[in-house]
Amino acid sequence: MSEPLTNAGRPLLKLAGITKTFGPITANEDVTFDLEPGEIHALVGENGAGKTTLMRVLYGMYQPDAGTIHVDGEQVEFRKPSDSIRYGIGMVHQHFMLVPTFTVAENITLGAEPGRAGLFDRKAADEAIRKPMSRLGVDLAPNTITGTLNVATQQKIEITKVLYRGARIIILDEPTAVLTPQETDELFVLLRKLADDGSSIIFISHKLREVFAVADRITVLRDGRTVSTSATAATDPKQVVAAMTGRGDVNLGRVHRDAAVADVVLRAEGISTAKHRHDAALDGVSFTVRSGEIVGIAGVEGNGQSVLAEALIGTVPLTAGTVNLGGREITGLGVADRRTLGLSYVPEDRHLEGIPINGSVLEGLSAGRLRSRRSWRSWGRAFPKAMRAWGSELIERYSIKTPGYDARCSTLSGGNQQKIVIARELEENPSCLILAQPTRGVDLGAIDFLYGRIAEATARGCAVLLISADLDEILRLSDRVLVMYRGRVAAEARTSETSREQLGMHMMGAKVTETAA
Amino acid sequence: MSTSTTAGPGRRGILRRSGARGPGRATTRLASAGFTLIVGLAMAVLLIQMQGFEPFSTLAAGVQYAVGDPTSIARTIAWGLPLYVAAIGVAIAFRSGMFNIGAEGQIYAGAMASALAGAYLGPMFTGAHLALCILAAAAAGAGLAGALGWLRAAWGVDEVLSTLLSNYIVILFCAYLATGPLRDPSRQSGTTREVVDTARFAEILPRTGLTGVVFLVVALCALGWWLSEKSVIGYRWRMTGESPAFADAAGIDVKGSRIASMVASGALCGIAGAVLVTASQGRFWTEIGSGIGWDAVLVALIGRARPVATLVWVTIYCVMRAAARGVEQVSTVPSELSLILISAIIIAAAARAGVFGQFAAFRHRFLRTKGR
Ligand SMILES: Nc1ncnc2c1ncn2[C@@H]1O[C@H](COP(=O)(O)OP(=O)(O)OP(=O)(O)O)[C@@H](O)[C@H]1O
Ligand SMILES: [Mg+2]
Repeated sequence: MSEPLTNAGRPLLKLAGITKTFGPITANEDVTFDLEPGEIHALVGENGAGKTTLMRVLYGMYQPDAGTIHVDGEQVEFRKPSDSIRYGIGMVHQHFMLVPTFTVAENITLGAEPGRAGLFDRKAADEAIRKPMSRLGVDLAPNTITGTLNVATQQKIEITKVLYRGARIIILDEPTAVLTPQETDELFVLLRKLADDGSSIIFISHKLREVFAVADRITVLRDGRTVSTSATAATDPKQVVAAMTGRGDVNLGRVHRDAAVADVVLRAEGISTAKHRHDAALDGVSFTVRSGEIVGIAGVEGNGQSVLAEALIGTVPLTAGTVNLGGREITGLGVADRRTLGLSYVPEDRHLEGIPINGSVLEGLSAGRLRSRRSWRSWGRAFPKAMRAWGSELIERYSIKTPGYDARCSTLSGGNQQKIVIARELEENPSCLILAQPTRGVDLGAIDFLYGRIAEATARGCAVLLISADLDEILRLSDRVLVMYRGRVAAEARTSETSREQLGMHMMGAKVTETAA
Repeated sequence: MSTSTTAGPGRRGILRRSGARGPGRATTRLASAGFTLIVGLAMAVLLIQMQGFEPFSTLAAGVQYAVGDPTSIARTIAWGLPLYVAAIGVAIAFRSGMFNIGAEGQIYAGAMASALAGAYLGPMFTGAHLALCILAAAAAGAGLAGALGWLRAAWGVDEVLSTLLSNYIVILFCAYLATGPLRDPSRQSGTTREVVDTARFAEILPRTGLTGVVFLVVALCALGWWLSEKSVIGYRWRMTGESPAFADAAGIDVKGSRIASMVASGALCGIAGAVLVTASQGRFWTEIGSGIGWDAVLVALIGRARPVATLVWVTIYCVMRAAARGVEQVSTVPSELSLILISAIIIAAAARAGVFGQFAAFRHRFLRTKGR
């Protein structure tokens, strides 16, 4: 990868002096950014640094307060996305914008349907999407319902959609946050191919491993300003982290914990479920998590990890097996009762299950406290002064970047939304915490911080089950790892005695037993 | 970053722009409402002009008739009282994601229940009798709406369809009762027996129709607002409506909240029926609701299910209706034309509130594109 750049005259795209404010918040300030033809340019920065905002300005979703955009040397002004689409700019959003109940063909052509206006010409649409689909190697029936597909495929549909509209500048906002390592590798092959064909790609990610694997150049944003732009070959992760955070001491390695592992807190025995959405059914899964221990669950997406989390918290019913919490059987209990008994849960789908996306930050933080209030007190005020003060204090303590507890959750950056979820769940002081993809889209500094809080919880005796598609996360945090494959536990190992490669093999279903390894 | 695909129209899309905060949004919303009203007024001027009347004096007469002096204000309010209660009721259900468009039927059920309680019980101490009538109405409405809410929560029977259909069933059943077994034999048309005097609210301003029920209505509106916007219960209901998956994962009782909000909604709509009987009509008759339930649904939609906005829109609506009656009295502009004009204003307001996007979401819910 990253061959030296031939600076063929002027850049394809040039953003200069971009400033964008939302009321009191300055999301972008005097940002400069340029893009060469055929280049993959990574944009990195902490949560709330303004990456998404900058890209939305470029895509015409926001109007900048100041600054200019040049495409091919021509100064342009984008008032709406269709303006930028006309200039060959396409964006795959951090949160997908597909309509789950539409077919693949409908989603791809949505807003730019072939044929006469107002009528959906199915034949013409199927024909028109064939070329971009084959360019990406997507092999799908055009009438597949989008909501039934897994995330990686949905993402490919988003990219197809962008290509269908003739984009030569493709913006990918945290595309890998939802992908497994294998899917990420596939995506990178695809991006490289697109770049070699002459497309330019802007790539946003919090994972430096990926940035260094795929990008030709890296631009760092901090607090809405451009800090540096450098060729990947001329810099290293340490420098980039320092530029992103302004700190030199961010821990990127294993998290230090001093927790004594004691009694079994969570015990699952032979639990099975029916097939749920596009995840595999659980098939006789057994394991234990002890107090003070972190057990990681690794696996390629769709092998039952999501269902496992939901079965443990009680939103998916079991067909067989039992779950015990602190010696008490909770198999038949509902979510509320399980939570009351000390179970906490960070769901993997933040927008759907983690926070009330249209509600306020305080409404997101307080669910745990308001859920259990009983009887006549429920008629009382939900957010009296004490509650609001508590909310402000949590915002402070977890450094959630927001104008206040009254702000709508949807206006927070992705990482800050996640902090709401983790703050709420840790504040419940659980005896057992189930974390499903807890740091998806969260920046390095914040991950460091959140891991610290999780480590503190285990020091208090909390048992943690960590379900993650990010092997680095599992290797950094957990004491033991279980690998799930087709709804079963395929392998188990102490973290100190295994490696990325070995786990990767188990995840692909390789029949290597512990003794043989 | 997350696997959600929330951007598409879905049931939560109905109240997507909830939680609007900050002065900015409020002022835009006010400006937009003002704009709608001014356009409506301009259209009214045109309409009256076309009928060959002096538009401004005619309009002024209409407004005078609606809110010109204390008596007319009282009359206008008295007409709107059931609508206030019903609209708050509908808004509460909308807020928790339950589309209770069965308000009209619940009003009929409430009116029937209170008419029976008023006619066949008593006479007795008037406070107790009124309380009985109102409780009977609330129970009828709550039972009806709660049952449909339960069907939705437990069996997934879509409440849009079930409440819609319930209107026809309930209204026809009440009509059967009023023309058949419970008909007042001394009357020719389909009415029940007149309630005894102890089951009627006393007028507090003579010859305005404004009765003591106004205090009850104010209390119910305040209660509805508190319940839905301020209380812990309301928090659970709103979360259930806006983010059901979040509510579920957080351990909020989603089914319970759905049923409870429908019970509250139905109770309020039922009481609106009781207000019709005990404060003005004095009996049940087959056309007693006269579309108030539908008005309530419309107004709650325009008010985006926010109690305060809904109450403001009820007030605007009542004033417009009264002004239309006033215009009719001083000119030959027939009230049908005025009603068309009011409808046009409402449609404009609805468009501004994004109500049509909400209907698109409804459509989407029923007419999915075929695929596999
Ligand atoms: N529509 C909006 N209204 C108000 N504030 C906003 C809005 N969009 C973004 N912001 C604020 O602007 C800042 C930058 O947000 P942005 O989403 O661009 O960050 P980001 O770099 O993409 O972060 P992340 O890595 O978490 O996705 C944040 O403080 C955010 O709260
Ligand atoms: Mg972002």
